[in-house]
Amino acid sequence: MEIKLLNIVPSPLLSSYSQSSLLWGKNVVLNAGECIHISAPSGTGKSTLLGVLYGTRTDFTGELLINDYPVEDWSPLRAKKIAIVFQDLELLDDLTALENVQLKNQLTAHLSDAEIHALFQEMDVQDLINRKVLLLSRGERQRVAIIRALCMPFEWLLLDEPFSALDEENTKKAIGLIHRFVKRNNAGMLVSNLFKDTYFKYDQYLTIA
Amino acid sequence: MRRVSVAKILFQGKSKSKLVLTGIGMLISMLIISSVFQIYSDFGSLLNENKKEGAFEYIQISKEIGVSTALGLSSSKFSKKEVDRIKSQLFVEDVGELWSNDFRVYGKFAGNAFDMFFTSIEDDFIDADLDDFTWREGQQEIPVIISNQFLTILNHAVLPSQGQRPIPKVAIKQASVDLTLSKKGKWLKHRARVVGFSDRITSVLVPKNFLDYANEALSGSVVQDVSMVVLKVSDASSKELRSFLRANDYEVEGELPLLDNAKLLLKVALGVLFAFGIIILGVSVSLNLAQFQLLVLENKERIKMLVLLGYSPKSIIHSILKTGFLNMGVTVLLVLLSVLLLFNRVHGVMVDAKLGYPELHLVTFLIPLVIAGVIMFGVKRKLKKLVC
Repeated sequence: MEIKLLNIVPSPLLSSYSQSSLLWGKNVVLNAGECIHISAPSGTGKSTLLGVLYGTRTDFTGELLINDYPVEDWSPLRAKKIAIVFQDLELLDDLTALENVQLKNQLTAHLSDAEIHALFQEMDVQDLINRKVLLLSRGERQRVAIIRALCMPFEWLLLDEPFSALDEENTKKAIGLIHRFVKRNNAGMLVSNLFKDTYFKYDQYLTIA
Repeated sequence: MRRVSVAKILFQGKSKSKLVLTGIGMLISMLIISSVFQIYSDFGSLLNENKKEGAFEYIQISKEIGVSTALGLSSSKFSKKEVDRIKSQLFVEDVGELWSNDFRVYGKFAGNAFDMFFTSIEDDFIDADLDDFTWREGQQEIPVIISNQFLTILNHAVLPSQGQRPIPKVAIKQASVDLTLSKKGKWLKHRARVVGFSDRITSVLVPKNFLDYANEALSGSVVQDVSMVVLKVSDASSKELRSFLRANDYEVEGELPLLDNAKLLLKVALGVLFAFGIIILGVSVSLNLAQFQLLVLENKERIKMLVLLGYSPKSIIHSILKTGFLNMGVTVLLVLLSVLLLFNRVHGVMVDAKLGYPELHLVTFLIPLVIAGVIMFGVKRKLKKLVC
């Protein structure tokens, strides 16, 4: 799945974005299967970019094309093609960790119950599986959000500061898991971070600012 | 694979009592509306039985006898002008004039002598077999039609009080009464024989040509004014008719008006009940819509989250509606069961009282289904507006 950003500038940044930005106001093509890194300081539009790519932000000029067509209905794309780990995680607090994952998985029935349980085990949160998200720490929630993102046959995986609350060991586990799923799906990946990182082997480094 | 119900997420923590109360309101309103229809059709057919003949009703009226009439200051008879005025009323289809005798009628039967009276009316107004109800000049025997009411009084009050046995209709038809008609020294001798019985006219009817002949022979003139009139109307319970009768001090004979009063009362009661049902339905529908609106507003964040995960607004609406359909289905089922029970009860009462065999109408069943369908359509539209 190829994504084209044609002269896109978010409305809040219209007067303030830098002409030297490699993204805003430029024509950028995100090719299928590419691994892209986006880095920029806070407030320069990293999350906004992911919002544009996930269809939650429509307040921009320019045009977004997926496989050369503008998107009319985001639901099937979100259900099957584009996975995301939000910076704010966006989990349902009064559901358990497992229910949050199941809620996503049941859209495509991509993974079996056993496979989901294996993922919880791999991310070392198997004991928290039936605990309400409200009672989990930020790091635990981040791991649940990563598991949830992998429960679909995605073609693109968008990660917005995905390991910000994880320690080194858990980050390594998450990277291994994500890498495996991206490879399995032959998918593209876009990782945003405050700084340049080496979590994955990136094909492109893009700086927003 | 275990599934997480979207509806369960959205209805989580919602007060069940509100849903139950709205359901009860809906149930009561649908039950009232359906039942009103069924009862109206059950009793409607019962009360309209008197309309079998061309769907018309007949009312016998006379002038109220007041002090002025008693003193001879006003007449108890209807003039031609008055009859024409009655005929011109929109709610009156036709008017039958009842002429009476202007001579004395003296009857003798089985040794008993008694005074009698005769009246005549156009044949169209008589609800009895008229084959033998003819008279030709020179004919000695006069055919007579008497009121069923007279026969009832005779058999149940007069004869028992004299220690005599009741007389069946067949026997009465075989008997003949010797008559002496007289006025101012003139007299006529005849025999009378009962040839029929009337429910409609509470009088003793003889053929018009005989009455004219006897009046002319004994009084010297044909009677012009009529003592009573019979109104042929399509709706005896119409307000206009009642006000007209009241305004002119006309008195109504017989039991038909009582039946019509009952019909009128039933109509009013059912009307009030129907209005009550509509009001409850309105309130329940508003509450139902408000509840769904509240549900969406309270779950705005959850719905947003579901949309972020890839659930289409349509599928979310579908999940909410599924719960609504389930509740509505249970409500409709309860309404239908209640209607069946109610009908069974009414049917039993009517059959026991020999009032007829009411039928359960398809419309009675369709009413709650249609109401439920309209409500769910409204809810769907509302949800579409709120979620999409």
